[in-house]
Amino acid sequence: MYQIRTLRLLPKNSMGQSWKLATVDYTTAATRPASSGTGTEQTETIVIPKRIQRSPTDLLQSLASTVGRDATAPHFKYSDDPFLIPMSNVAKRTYAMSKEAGRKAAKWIKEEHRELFLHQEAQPAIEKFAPRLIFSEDSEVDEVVLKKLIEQGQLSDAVFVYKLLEEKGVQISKELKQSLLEMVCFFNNQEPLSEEYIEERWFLQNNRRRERGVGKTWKDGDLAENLYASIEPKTPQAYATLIRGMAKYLQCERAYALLQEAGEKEIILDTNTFNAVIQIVSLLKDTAEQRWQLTQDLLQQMAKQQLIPNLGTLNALLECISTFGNFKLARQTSLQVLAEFKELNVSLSLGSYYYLLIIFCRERGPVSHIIVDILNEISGKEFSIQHPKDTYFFATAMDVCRNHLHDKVLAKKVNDLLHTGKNYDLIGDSFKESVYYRHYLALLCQTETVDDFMVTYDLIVPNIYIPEPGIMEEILRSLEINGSVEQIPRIWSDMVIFDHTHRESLLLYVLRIMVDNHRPDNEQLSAQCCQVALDMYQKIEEQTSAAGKRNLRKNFVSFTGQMLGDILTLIVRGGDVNHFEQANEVFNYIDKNQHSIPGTPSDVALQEYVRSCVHHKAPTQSLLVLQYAVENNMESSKLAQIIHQGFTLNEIHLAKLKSLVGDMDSLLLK
Amino acid sequence: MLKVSTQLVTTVRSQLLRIAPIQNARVGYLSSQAKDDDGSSSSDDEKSIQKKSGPQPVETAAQRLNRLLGSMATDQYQISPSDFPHPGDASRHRREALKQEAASKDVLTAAKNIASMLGTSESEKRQTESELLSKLLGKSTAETETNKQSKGTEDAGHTESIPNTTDKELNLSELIVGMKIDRRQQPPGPEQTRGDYVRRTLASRSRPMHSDRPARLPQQRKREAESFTGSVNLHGGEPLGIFKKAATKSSAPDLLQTWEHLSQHELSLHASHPPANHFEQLAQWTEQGKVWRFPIDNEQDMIEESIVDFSEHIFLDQHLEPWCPSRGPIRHFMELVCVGLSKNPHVSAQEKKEHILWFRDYFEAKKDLLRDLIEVKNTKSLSV
Repeated sequence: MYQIRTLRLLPKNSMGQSWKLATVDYTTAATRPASSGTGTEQTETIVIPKRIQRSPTDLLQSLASTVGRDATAPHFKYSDDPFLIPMSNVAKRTYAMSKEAGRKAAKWIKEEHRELFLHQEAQPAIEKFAPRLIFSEDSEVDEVVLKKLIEQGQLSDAVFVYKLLEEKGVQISKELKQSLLEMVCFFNNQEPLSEEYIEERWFLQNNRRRERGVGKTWKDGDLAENLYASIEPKTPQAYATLIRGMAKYLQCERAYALLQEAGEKEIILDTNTFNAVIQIVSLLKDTAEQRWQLTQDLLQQMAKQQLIPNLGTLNALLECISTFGNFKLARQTSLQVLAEFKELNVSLSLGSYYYLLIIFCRERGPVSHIIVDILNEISGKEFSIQHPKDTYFFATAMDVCRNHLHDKVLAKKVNDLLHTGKNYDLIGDSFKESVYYRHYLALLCQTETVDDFMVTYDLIVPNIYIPEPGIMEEILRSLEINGSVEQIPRIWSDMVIFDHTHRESLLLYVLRIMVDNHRPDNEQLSAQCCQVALDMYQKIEEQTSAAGKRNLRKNFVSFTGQMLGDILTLIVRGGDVNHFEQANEVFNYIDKNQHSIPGTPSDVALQEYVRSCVHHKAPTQSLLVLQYAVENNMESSKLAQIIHQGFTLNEIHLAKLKSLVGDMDSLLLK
Repeated sequence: MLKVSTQLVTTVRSQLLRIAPIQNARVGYLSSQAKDDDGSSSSDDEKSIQKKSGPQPVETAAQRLNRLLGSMATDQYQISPSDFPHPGDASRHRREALKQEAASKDVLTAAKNIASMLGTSESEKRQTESELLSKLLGKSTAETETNKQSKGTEDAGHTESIPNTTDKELNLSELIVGMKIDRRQQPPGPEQTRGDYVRRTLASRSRPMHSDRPARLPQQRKREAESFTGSVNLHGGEPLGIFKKAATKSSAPDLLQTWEHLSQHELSLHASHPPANHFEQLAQWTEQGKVWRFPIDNEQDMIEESIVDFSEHIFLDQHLEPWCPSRGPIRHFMELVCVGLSKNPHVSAQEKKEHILWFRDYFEAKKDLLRDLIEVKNTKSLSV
């Protein structure tokens, strides 16, 4: 017992040493016989590496890095159940948000029925599982509570407690007030989205960007400014806080005015405050020259105050430059800025490269190959987030590859960079991810052979990315150009799953590819095409009848004559006896609804169908076709010829034929 | 896809009937390109033609004609149900077609008719005619312009009939040379589908080129080569020279610590995304403080007790020594209390000590009573 006790009381260092010694003894003893056997006496010193301090999640992260992305499985957040795997972009969002909604509901119950959750099983208690503290008018509060709330980033509670303390007349220390001011300015006195709602953030950020465009969101005369007013005398910190807050929420004029005021009073601010103001220069001045002048003034002020510019300064400068309409000036100044910061040993983040891309690769400017140089510099490197705009790089780079340079090789390089190390963390959110893959797939389908493209397609679709109808059209176009009808059945099944079947242009494309690429030698393919056509026919018919019943859905496809003619052709081509009946069904549909269907099937489609009638010995049906053709002012003589030559017609049929096209002999003479 | 409407109502349209498919085909091609060029090409054509047309009265007439042609080209897109044939229309259409046939025998004569209607002098007629044809066939206007000018000077002194025919032929052949064939539009016949064409060309080529170079790329390459601006030396610019090297110190810490903390937190949220596997999920929970942290330690977060040695939990006799009698029932009782406490993991060492001291105070308070009791007990045992 005593021994154990002394061991425990030993300082940690000595314990480590004794253990180390023991290990060394043991290992040398084990190796000694071997070395003596060879006769060479050498003392190996085994250096035991020092303990590496690891964070609680290091082990988990290294384990996680061994798990690759399985392209055949849905994302981890979705249940791996065939019925619960989302198969369209809408479903992906809905399922993820449903899960989040469940979390929110649970949280709501926890807060609403807090009395049920007061027991704490764990020792020590897990604070995260306990209901949140509620502060009311008569809560016992003091500075310590306020400080803790600020540390936890609970804005609304902190503000409430602050007001309570003020009412009670409790003196609050300057530091605490300053730190509360910082928090209020940072969040603009608006409760931020809880960090737990990771899905909501993943799907939300494109909305937030739209809000940003609205302009000023800073709350004038609100708590932040009251707090600022109550700080006397004004400290540099107070100035810096209010300037940054106003700049962040685009109260540009006042932020700049405050900066000037601070300058007049010769208050030394810090780099990040200047960065915040440089970021909004584009909103302060209108022309590129004025903006650049103001930016230079600000930099001079920084230099005068002996402030060291950092990455934030660089990115703010580049952001300002990217708003220049004059692209020559923009290019020139951006290179100057880069050179300046190279001298200052500031290394670029992905956000800086993003700005360079939007400065150099403009829609209405000359083509620039800057992305090649950027990729040469950064390919194979691993990045971590250093600036909020870092997440914009990949989507923009792929956009440049597709729309600016149209270069497949570059796109692959960008893709490699994305999959280097943990760079995928910087993809941003769901919106940017889908933009990235949209450009990637569209570029590949235009520049690669169909077989190569389908390899990538299989890898990405549907679990990582689901093509939007526009991209599907691009893919179909490339299939058409390459005449690869073999892929159509597969693409069609994807289109059905992704809910693209209500897009008329896509349906027409699919039909056209199948009709134009007839391969009489490949029966299996013809049969597949026939299946696709039948499937499409049924789907549209369902839609039409459903729309007719409810009269609600506007977004449905209705048949056109051309479409039905294509379907008819495909069924005839791929068909055996069973399919001939279905072809009859389709034709009867055309015949019956000819008043409501716009357009007519093509002449060729009808001719092929009539030939098939001849083949299947159905004179009555073929005469129906002829009648339809005559009524609709279509080329009928060819049809009549086929019928006349193909069948030995009885009296009734002959009479009908004569009534439709006149005397057969004159036609034949023609 | 673009269905060529045969119902052209005006006489001009009917006269130009045979050319309409070509024109439509070209328009179709342009429209698919229009996404890229904003459709600027077609409007430019129109403008240049307007500029080049002759004197004032003729110009207005030519403009009207151009407008008509322009509307004809765009009309084809709006497919409304009324555009499609209906069963009753058949005979009416046939009659109309017969009527029109006479006029539409030849495109050239048609164009010539119009030209003669518009112009008075021979050169004007020819000009209008060639403009008309160039508009229809999509010939580049510059070519006709030069051609027309040279022809105009040459033919100035000639007689009417003979040069006119040669001129016309020349114009037409050149027009046809300048025509562009739409690659997207499928030819009408079933034997000549696009797919067949592609397959045939692919087969004939028998893959002599790189398999991953589709037909589109060479053209693209050419465009790039023309506009190649060279690589950009990212760090080769002239520095601004605002920040002097001498001023570089180690960067000062942020003035605002809370702000810094919050922005770091927000930044990390930017890079976070939904966990992709269970390990990431666990890491996320760990960061949120919901599960044990690695390395697992069953005294995690027991901050109060971390400095207390286990012996202080177990060896509680030391608290008895100052006050407890060395033998007797109280000692016995207190030893039992100590054993019980030493086995209790839910109470801190300090609480255990306080518990024992509570007994000390209790016995102190009841000291007299206890003494009496013990005396009574002793006398009883003595008497027995």
